[in-house]
Amino acid sequence: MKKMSKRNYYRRFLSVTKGIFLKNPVLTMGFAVPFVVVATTSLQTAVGLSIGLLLTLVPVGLIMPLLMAKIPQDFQWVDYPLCALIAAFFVLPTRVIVGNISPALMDSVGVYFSLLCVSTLLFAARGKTRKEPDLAKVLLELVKIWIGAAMVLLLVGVVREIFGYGTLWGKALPWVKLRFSGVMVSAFGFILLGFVAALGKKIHRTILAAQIWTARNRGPIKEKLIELAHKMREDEEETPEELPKETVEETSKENQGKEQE
Amino acid sequence: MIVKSKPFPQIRAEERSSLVMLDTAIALIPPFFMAVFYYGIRSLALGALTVLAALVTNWISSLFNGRGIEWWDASPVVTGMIIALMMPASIPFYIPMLAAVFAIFVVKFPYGGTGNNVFNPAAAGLAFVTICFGTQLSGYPTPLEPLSLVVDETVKLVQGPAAILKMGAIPTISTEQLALGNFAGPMGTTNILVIAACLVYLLVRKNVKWYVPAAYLGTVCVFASRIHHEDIGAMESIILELVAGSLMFVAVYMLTEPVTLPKRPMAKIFYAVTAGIVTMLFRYYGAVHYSAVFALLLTNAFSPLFDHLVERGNLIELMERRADHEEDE
Repeated sequence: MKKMSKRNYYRRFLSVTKGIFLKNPVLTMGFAVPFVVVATTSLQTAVGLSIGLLLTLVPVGLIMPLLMAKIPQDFQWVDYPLCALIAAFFVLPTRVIVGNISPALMDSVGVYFSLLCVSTLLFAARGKTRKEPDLAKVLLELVKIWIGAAMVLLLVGVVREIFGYGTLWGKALPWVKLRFSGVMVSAFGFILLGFVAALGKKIHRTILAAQIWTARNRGPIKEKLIELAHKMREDEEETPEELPKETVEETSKENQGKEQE
Repeated sequence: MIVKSKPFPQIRAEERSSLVMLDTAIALIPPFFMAVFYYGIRSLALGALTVLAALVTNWISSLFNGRGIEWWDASPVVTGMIIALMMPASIPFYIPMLAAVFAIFVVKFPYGGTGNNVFNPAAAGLAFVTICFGTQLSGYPTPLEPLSLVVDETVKLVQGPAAILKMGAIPTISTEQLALGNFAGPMGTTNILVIAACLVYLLVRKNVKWYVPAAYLGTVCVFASRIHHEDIGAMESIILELVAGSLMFVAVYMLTEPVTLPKRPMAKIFYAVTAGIVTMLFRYYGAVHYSAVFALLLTNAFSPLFDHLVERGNLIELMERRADHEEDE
């Protein structure tokens, strides 16, 4: 069984990338959906929100379990406000720094950058364990969750910007002739998110189906090859009997002559 | 044991979704004739291309979903025809085709295809193109001036009576013109008498329950009689509200779609009344074109709720009756 699981590269890939493809925070778990559906209308917005998410998700995910381990059981209810406070502590300076570097980026994100402090994704990633966690493992998980969320944000942002504005990162794309302003509506954001989730599921099912097909067909093909080899051997052994009568007689006469000599 | 394949005794008529859709498609042909009469051969080309786009998308989606191509399924034909008839005759060809593709690929197939859609596909397709190409959908060519296949900027486009009513003005159209549909508007929705005749056909064929359009139009009439312009009377307001825009067309062909309608008769009435109220609220306070279409989409979302409420009401009534009966005993 261990050999089988080692050979199953797809399952290994899924378990290693858990949080990116398997159990994606946005597509599977439904966290941070408002940011994807309403705010992400361009690649710039998606990048801005991804930066904001990284700078809130990682500190909150690392600091919260450590803090919660120190807080007595009776005061555990402070986790939500504490979570938002830690996020705000990192979001506010980031807003100023990124705003100075790229004002256009901050303008495109708007109020949603600050709203990241109360994202459901942060509350989900805050951790509830009272034991002191392995920080390296937690960090790895948080990075995977962030990559999963950022991937969806970027994908939705790119699609909406191309079809809505006919641009990519603000630069006009000459091959886009039609522009659909309806793509920018929040309702379409939901539709797009649904399609992305469905596409992911379809790819997953196709790979699984292909795996099952190859696993099922591996046995019979092998058996058929063995059968074929057996048949070929038998044919080789049976050839003298199948020779025409004349040749058999000739060979027998020759043999008799040799024996007389 | 000999098993004979006969229909169940309570089913008296052969009623299949394909036949229902075929009847609706037949009922959509007369408005097309009128569109050809008023706007020329372009309206026919518009309809043919839209239906073709809907059919091809339906076939591709069927293959994508792992089903075979369902040749007998006439629902994409109906969707395409409805979309085409709700458009101005001068619209570029790609807009109704896009609406048809959106209707089938985004609204119909993700929910499981024919018979499973939550929202009316044609209404959703129209809503999408209204948001994307609103300005191109708000200007209509003058009737009885046949259009060539290629429409250039020389074609004069005017506003429809629905837009004039929304602005607070009164459209100056005579009663004869209103009855004949001889005024600017979507190419298949202005011919009220033809649509009414098609409604009779659908009623005779038992594809439409009379109380659904009646409840919808009745609600609209009540609103129109109560809230209207100072310069016109209640009756004139009712006629204008019914004739202007696509309200009557929506009531006959889209509201009565069996897939999105609730299942219980009382729920259907509540559904139609709600759709009527939302339509009039959109007309008075909304900024969008095709208010009836958007109202229908909004009401579609609550369709199962009406069934649930009616069932729950019936259950409560039954329980009360039982309680009364037990008390009497």
